[in-house]
Amino acid sequence: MRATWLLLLALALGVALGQEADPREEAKKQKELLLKTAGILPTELVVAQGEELFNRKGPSGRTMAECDFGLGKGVLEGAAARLPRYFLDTGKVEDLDSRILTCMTRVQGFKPEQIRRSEVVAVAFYIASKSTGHKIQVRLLFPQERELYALGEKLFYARTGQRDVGCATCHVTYVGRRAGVLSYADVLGQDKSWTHWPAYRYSNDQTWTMQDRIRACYGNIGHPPPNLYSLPILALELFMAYNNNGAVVEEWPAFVR
Amino acid sequence: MAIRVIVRLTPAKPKAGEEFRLQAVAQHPNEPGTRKDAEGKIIPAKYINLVEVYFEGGKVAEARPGPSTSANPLYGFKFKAEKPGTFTVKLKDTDGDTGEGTVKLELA
Repeated sequence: MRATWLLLLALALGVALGQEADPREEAKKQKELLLKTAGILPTELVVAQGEELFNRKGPSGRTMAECDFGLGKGVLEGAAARLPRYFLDTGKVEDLDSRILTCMTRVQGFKPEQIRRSEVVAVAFYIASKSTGHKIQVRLLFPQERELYALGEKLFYARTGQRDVGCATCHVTYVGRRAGVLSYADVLGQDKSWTHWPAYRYSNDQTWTMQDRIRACYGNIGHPPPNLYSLPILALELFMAYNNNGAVVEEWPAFVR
Repeated sequence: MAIRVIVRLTPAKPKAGEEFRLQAVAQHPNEPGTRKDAEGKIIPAKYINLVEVYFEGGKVAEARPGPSTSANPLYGFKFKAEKPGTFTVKLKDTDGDTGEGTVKLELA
């Protein structure tokens, strides 16, 4: 008798767990709800802020329209989908965040200590919004790009920190399983995670780019996060972007949990 | 610094005589003046305490929100669509900073 009850309980529990909504579907629902009630997404405010900052004149009297984001001066359509890439003027591989930083310091004449991270993120949201619907096209043309890609691949599969895990532990080995609410994304495969950032995280009211996401990942595995705009982050970004080549950007900035 | 405001109508193009909502989202920290920073010092109050809605220059609605409003607040007003025109939402906070957003009302 008792065994039957236990069996029934286990069955009921199984049904209850099985009925849990897919968090990605939930994010979509949340977005629709917000659009229905408010009519305005928080991302739109940040994009508007980014546009204002983009057209703001720096100490040198120039706006960001004077900067080259990879497709020529002031060309933003699809520019973010082709980053990170090697830039001849700086001699470095740069992603969207670091390119904005370069633009603000080199062209606009801001001092590095004057630049606020929130402003960089807002501009990144604005520039990324111009790549919605574009395909990710990242190339490994220059030796610097190939070198950084190799470093990124190494870092992605390296295990480190207190728990002796790495990016690949969750995002390759344990794809589909979960530790928190969300199941681990198949970063290199079908989930095309590169196209999910920059994004607004509605559960925490955060505006994040991929740089913040990677830093948080390192925090999760008990490893000190690399600095913003640093080489390990750029390497991982290039590695992920290249492996997501051809993926279509559904919406930038994205709206995630 | 100007307060950033986005204004929308739901539905975007109401029929004549139909009720619609005018909604405005502002980018503002809305500090109530009771929170403390990392050093334990009180963060001074700075919140939006006046929301005015103008239609074609004439004031049609006003709200005076208190300190207990969330950051990046959403304000909504219900109106009845009669004639097309432009709505202007004007905000003012306790520091005297202002913001303005406009939206056009077009009848379906």
